[in-house]
Amino acid sequence: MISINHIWLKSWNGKPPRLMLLFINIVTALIMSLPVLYVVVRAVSAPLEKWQVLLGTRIPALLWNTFSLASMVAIITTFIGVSLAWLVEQTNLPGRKLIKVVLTLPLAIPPYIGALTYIIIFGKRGLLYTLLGTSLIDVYSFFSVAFIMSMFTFPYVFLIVSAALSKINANYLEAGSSCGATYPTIFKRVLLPLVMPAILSGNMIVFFYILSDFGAVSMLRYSTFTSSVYFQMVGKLDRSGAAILSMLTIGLGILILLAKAHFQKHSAFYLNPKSNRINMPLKLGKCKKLCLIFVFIVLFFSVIMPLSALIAWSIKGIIAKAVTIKMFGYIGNSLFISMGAALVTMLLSIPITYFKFRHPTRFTSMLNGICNLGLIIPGTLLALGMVFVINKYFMWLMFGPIVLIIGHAMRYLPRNLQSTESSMALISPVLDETAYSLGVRFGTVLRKVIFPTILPGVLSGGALVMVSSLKELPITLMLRPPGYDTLAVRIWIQASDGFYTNAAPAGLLIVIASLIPLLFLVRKELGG
Amino acid sequence: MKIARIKFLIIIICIITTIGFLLSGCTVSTNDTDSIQSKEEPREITVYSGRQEKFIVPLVEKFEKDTGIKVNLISGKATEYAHRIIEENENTQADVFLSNDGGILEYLRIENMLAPIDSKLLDQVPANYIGKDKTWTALTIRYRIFMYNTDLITLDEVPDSIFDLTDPKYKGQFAINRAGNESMITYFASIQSIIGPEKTLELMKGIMANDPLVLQSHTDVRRAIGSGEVKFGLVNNYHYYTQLTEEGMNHVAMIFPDQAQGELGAFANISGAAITKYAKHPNNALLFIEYLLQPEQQKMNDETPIIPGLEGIEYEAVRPADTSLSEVGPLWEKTTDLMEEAGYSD
Repeated sequence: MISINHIWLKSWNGKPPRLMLLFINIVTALIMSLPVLYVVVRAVSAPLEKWQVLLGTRIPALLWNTFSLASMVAIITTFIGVSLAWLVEQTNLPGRKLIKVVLTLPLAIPPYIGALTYIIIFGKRGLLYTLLGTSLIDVYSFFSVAFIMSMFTFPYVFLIVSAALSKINANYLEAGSSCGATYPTIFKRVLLPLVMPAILSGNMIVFFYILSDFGAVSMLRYSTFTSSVYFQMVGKLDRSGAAILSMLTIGLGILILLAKAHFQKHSAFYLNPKSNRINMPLKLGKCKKLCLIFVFIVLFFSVIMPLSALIAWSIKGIIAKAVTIKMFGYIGNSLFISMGAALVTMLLSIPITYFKFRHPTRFTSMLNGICNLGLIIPGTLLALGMVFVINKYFMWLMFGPIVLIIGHAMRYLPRNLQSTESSMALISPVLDETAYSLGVRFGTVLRKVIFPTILPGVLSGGALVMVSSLKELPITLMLRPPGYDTLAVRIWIQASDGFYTNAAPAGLLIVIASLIPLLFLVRKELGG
Repeated sequence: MKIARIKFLIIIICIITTIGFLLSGCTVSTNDTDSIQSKEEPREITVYSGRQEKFIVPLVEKFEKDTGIKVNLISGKATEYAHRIIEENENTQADVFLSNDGGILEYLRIENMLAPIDSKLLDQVPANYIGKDKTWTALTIRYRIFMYNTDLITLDEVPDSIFDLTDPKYKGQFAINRAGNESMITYFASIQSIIGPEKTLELMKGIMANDPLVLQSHTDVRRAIGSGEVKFGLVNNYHYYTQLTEEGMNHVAMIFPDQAQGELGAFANISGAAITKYAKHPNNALLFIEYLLQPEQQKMNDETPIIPGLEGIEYEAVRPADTSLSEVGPLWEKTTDLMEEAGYSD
């Protein structure tokens, strides 16, 4: 008995977790691993020749395509997201509160609609070609694809980094300047290390986004692993081939997660939330105009252009009577699913993140890694994995929209985790240890110390999940009960024969619905 | 103060969620899981449809009105629903599966997921558009055609055979759909059933050597032709009719390929229907499919009806290829392998 107890304690480095906490983490990881298991089972049961054919022909090129695009987008979004966050949070840029609100709007635009506007304007025979006789750029080239994808993903980095920047205590910066450091040095040595966890989290979301998206990417005539998985499965009716390809995506994703964990292990910084003093904004001086132009350019390509196209098409669509009374039902369905998914991920992210930071062992990293897999598995395969499991063991779930909430929550839990983690990373463990040493109970520490501090991260995460879930298509298409359509599904149904104006009103409604979580996200940060 | 505001927000979220739930309640269909054995089936069926909703909804609404049987319809991608039916296995909710492609029906037949359609009406459907053991039936028919942009190329210059696509003079001038598309596989499987695997491989290699613009859907192909990005391309005849309605992009015309003596003839594909093996309402399902095969409903289709000789219908003057779609299934895997080998893979 003693020895078991001893091993138990030792395996947790002397700090064993509460059983309830462990239980929640294990159960969540188990559920999250089911679709992965499905993929593995399908891939392993594939005949050997299939592996050889795919490995020999397609995989090297796909690997390079996927990795290079995801890295390029991560680089661009880091540059745009961090510089905008810095401008909005740390300088006296005019109108920065409004700018901050508007900069989140690209998240509300479904990227397949965003990509479409680019194709219609810059395409080989697009609007510019008709007007000027040349389309100026090749919209299908690598850099165009990377640019377009960046325009609709940089807010992930922007939001997370600006949340972290707003929490930075003026003491740190003043300490820097009192030592005689110039601002660039302070930026490099003080600011940047402090927001590094946030930058990494944002990067991770963007990287996985590119890894998992196929709609916009394949519309731009670019092949990645996920688009290949998709066409292998739906076009060629080949589930085992699709599973092989997607196992490799999962592998790539795990590598990235490991790299992030390794990088973060050596850089932990904590903030003291009690003595928080608001930082004096930096005066921009002559650069002010240049900065405003930069902000405007980003806004033009990520918000103004796609949104005006969407509005123009919606008007055409409404004139063509593409809007019916049924739209209210679709709005209700979309809101129900996305809010349900947001709620589930918010409830789960607290115990999972707490567990990760306060009981860090190999086992913890493994459980946490599994919880982060949802975003890597192509949605269609995740849905099929769920059908496979649910039909065997949880038949009753198939008969309602609950199954959609579970599916969306599984897919987007990582997005909430990234956001929550970047808040949790700033709380020093000394804080709750002090509380324990004063005899405060676990529940009270959670409620009084941890919860108020990470709540902004949890809520932002929830809002991000809701925005993502409103746009979600593959899982909804596959798992919805008969007769249950969402706005995203309507876009797909209406646009499937190429008449995009009929699909535009549903797209515009998604943007409007997304304003609820987005405004909340920004308001909370402005207020706090 | 701060906490109070957060509490307030949480309450608001809860309220909105509840409202969403109530709103969604209006559109959720309640599935009664009555015992399967009962002789008197509940008057409803569930249809997984891979056809465009605007084609199928009018038929469904008319059926509901005429028979009083409620139809739970979900529209999506036929291939995805085929996978779903297989994974759902004996628990499937689907009674009827509607497909936009013959190959997918063949796939479900080979996976043993379909029940025979025991109906006299099938005698009127041409035999090569019915699955083995009556496992599926075609509802409408369409042909693979060359559509071309009349501003860029004349009828004389347009190729008149699929084999012309290997001619270097057409290099880079045409568009085709990607390999990961069921109807392209059905198409090359049909060709393979006539000319054999070696010649099919040679044909595909020749086409790929000619740098076709490979796009992600037939919709993209037709738009590429209409906008003048390419001179011509391979689509179905209804894509041509659709393109004619696109303002400013409708300078297009079409020909049926391989029509001369000794040539293959134009390839036909179908939209079709099947009853799932584990259907909970098999009698209603049969009723639904028979309904779709009746002349009145056949005439409501946007595509050419499968039943020949209906009054008031203009059938295409085309010589179809001498092959049967019910042979596609066994050739499916071989065809995808050949495509992969030809470098026509994604």
